[in-house]
Amino acid sequence: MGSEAKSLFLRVRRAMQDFEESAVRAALHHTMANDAMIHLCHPFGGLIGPDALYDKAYAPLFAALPDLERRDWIILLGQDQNGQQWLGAGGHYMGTFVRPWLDIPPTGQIVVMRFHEFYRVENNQIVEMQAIWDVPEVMIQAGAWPLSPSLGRELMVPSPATQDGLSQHHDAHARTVKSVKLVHDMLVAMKRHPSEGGPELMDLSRYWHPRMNWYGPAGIGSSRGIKGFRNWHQIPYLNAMPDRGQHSEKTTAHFFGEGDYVAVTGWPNMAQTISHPGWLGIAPTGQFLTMCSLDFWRLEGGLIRENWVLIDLLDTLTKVGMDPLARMREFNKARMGFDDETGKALP
Amino acid sequence: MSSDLQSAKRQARSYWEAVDGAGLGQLSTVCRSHLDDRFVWQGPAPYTELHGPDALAQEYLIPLKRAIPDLARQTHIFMAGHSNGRKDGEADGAIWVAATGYMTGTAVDEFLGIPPGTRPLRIRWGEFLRVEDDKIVQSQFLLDFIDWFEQIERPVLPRPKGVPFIFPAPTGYDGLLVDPQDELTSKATLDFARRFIYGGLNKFDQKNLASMGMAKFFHPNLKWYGPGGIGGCLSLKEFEILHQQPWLIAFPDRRVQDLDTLIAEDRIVGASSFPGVLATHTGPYQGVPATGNKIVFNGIDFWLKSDGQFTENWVFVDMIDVFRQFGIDLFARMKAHKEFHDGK
Repeated sequence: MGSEAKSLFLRVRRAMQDFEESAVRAALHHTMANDAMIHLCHPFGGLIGPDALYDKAYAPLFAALPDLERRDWIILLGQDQNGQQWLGAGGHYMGTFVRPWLDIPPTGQIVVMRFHEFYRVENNQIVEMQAIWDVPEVMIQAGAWPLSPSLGRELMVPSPATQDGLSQHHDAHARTVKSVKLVHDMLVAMKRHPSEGGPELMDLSRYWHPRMNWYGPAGIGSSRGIKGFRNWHQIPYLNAMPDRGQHSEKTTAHFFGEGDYVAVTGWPNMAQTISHPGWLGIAPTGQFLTMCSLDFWRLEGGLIRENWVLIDLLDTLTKVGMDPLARMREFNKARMGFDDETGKALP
Repeated sequence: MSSDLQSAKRQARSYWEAVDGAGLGQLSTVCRSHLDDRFVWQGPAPYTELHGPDALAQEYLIPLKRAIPDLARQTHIFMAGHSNGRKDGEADGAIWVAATGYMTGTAVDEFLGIPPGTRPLRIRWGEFLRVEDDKIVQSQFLLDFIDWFEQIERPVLPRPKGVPFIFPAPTGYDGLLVDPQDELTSKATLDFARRFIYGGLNKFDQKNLASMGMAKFFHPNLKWYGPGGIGGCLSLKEFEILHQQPWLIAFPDRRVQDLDTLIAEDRIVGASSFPGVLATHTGPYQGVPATGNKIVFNGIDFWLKSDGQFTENWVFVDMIDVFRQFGIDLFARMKAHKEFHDGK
């Protein structure tokens, strides 16, 4: 597969590097079909076409961070298991947070927000987008996260240790196939626990490097090593939703890879029941939920060394009635610059 | 006595050679000419029993050879003996021919849902043939499917604690006992094996591994070639820590029953029984919590005795069948890899 889609998308990346409205709009129009289906995380939801994407998502962000900058550290291109071409981009938005955004109080200081964005490309045009922006990461930096503290460590998630996330690996077909297979096999084994037995069934050490890093979304945080991953994410997660991985008919997953990198997107790509307590302070509501987790993996010596994960946590929490943005607005009633009855930012 | 065994060995070799050389269209004929009408085949799960030469050809041999057209047999051990596998020592005297080794080849088509691939395969096999009145009337046969799944990178069990993929021919010993062997040596080997199984293994007090007195029977440098999913243990210490401990935690009351066959020839011992061991699944095993189920184990073993102790042990356990009794379908796990790759 050629790298045309990467060249195409480079125009968007360049326009957003020194974010400016007319250039960004032009780049989006140049690359994206007018009827492109856009799935963006909560609270943005579903949007159609480049103008809606700009007006509903980028314009408010740019207003809040007037020196907005986009930086990518992973750009992958590959075909999923059904032959669709997907481009995956991981990186950070950053800028000076001078005006409220989504009613998050501004800090006047630099703020960073991780993104995992996936684009389906057909005939050299983006026809679908699935993306998560780590909005909770901004809330935490603003001191406005209204729910339970993260078990993992909140840190500015790094780019790949090898600094080759932007390199071109299209010709490494055999390596790509191997990488994708390893991640597939890891997930197949992972789903055996807890439905068929204990954690040994996941056989984690067969797939994960002993010095792995797992970069979870803000609200969960990052962890190191298999034990760290188990303690700070997986154990509480599976305690709460032991039926994860058992409802694959309700989800779609687009897997693809490039060289030592593998990615997955899907909207939604997880379906499970919150049947027990223990995760993020959510009480077991017994609700059956679909969720989105958009991930990148980097392999080293046949093992997963780094895993970048973003979950649309605001969507999940809102579905179970915990709406973090609404609770944040309750606090905002006492904050300067916010309406003391609604907690919304004053104009 | 030994002329019986030699004749039985000839029967078995002639059967295996004919099957190996036969094309798909000839397999039924070959089976009918080498196997008795009463022939019963006890095979590995997901098979159970097949009755008659035609069933063996149609259900097993033809599908296997269709999937792996270049299938070839490597034999590491070949032996025969009069069976003496009852706890009470009442020998049944049945004549069995036993062998083990690899089948090699490249799968070009599915077999039992196992996908084809470009990788050359080494499939472990062990077989015991019972010969009565110069006719082959029974087979107990195992293939190591778990090991096969590992080779095609569709693992269904956690990574083995032992080393994977180790299943060599005997060390410093020609395991192909085609010629007649010294009967006194064979008898001494059989007696030793009986003391080991019914005196040692069955003496486990459910607390202390030493209660079995394994060190009397197993050389410190024992090479224990465990089945796929368990792996090889390359000393008595490794065997105790990597296999026997987890096994006895899961199945502390396991006991060897009257074996369908226990034979010895020269310094080699062979045992096969469907089942040979009974146990209760009262502790976790390979990630599966205790089910409390009564489990029966179909297994085949070969041992080599050198200088008064066993130095090597080739082991088959029908793990597919064991996990079936836990309520877990390992073939479905293997196929889950496939469905994932197909994007289902």
